Amino acid sequence: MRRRRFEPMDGVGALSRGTLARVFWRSLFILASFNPRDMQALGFTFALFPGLRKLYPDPTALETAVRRHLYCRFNCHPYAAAAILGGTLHHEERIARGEEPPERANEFKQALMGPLAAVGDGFFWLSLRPAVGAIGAALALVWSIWAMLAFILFFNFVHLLLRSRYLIIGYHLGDRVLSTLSLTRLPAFRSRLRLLAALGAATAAAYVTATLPVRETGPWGDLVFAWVAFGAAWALLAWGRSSYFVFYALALVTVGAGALFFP
Amino acid sequence: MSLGACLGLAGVAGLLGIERRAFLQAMLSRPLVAAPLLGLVLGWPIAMELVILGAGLELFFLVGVDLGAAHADHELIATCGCAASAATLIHSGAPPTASFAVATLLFLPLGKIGILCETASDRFNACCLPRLSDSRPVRSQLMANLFGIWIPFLGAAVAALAASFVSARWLVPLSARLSHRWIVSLDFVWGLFLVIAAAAALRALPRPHALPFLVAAILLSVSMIALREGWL
Repeated sequence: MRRRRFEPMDGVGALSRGTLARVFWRSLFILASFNPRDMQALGFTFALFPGLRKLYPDPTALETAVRRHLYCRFNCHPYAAAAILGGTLHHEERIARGEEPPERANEFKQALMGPLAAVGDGFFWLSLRPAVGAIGAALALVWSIWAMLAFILFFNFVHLLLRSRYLIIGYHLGDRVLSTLSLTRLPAFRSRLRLLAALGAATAAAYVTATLPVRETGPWGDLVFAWVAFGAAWALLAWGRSSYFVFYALALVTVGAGALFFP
Repeated sequence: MSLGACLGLAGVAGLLGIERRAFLQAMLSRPLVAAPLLGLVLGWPIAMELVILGAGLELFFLVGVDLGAAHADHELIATCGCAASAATLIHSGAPPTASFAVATLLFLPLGKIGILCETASDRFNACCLPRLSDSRPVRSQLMANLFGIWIPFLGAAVAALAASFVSARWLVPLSARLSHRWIVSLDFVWGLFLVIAAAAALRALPRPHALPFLVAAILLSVSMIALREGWL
């Protein structure tokens, strides 16, 4: 028998793996109806529905439970929201048994959505994705399509593994989910991932400057052009200009110079 | 280019638009993946060429992220425009690097225009929300969540279709008449874009990390050229 690494709390376990799998599938649509008014409330309730349908066989009780979540504003990182989905089902199971008051589920959501959004945004969007993207882009310049496949496989291995585990951990642990998630020390990986991102971006910079797709001025002339352009771009970006402005300004200078000096 | 290929480009772009926001968020809509996928509609050789375009756009849009209700540049719509245009030009026989330069010069601003698509999607979703007075079964009310897939689909599909049309109608005939001087200039512009994208990516990362890597990058590129020229 497979040993769990955590002990389930409060006797939850009415929901089968199939129901949790349906909740997980629906959680992939959590951002579909994002809007400034209720944020992800509709998407969250859409994901929760298979679990609520099992916990509340009575149609009136089911409607009450659904409306409880439908009109409660919710916003969180889509991957980290899986932990809140699982924890909400944990509380709804206890509410359905009469062991908790109905407002407990929304209190849980409101308490966790901010901290988990910060963890999710900081790790996935601001660290993991730039790191994998920069390394993937640098490798793509050399390995072509294989780098793209590596990028997708690696990112989604981490993404789907964590997302599914968050749902299961949240369902079994309820309020303890945040302390358990803090043991994974995701924020500690952020600085290392940002170093990797810098490594990828620097490698890409080195490769593109060394292999500029022009052969008109010789290798050292191309290198000087590339690093002068890099320095000009860096200076303009430091000055507060957007990357779009930098590209179009330098492109205009390049095309103008080409019109004047190229044979 | 055939109607089937145009519709194929629009369809793939639309599905990537859905994947970016409404479903999965598995980074298939990132430029590094989206550009070759769009190129695959026109064949494997074009997909292989568009990997470089995707890599450049990935660096350019590396750190943009939607936080809460604030929207970053729409990297997918920009990628759909650039990739559809570049694929159409390469398919007609234009040189790849010149095609990339033309495509990025014309369609990179779609990244800013795409924010309007996000805002429109937010407003449409707000209109579709179930009301307190709604008497339909809750299961039907919750299906309104899936109405939110349409605007991301249409935004990306229209961008790809429009870029492909503009390229086939005007840019392909123009590219056939380009002189050597213009082709060399466009090659420089594409190289410039890659350099600026790398600078923007490195600059967007936390400051203490960037400078040592910048120095290392300079040394690495000099070493690469010296190795290539047989000096080391």
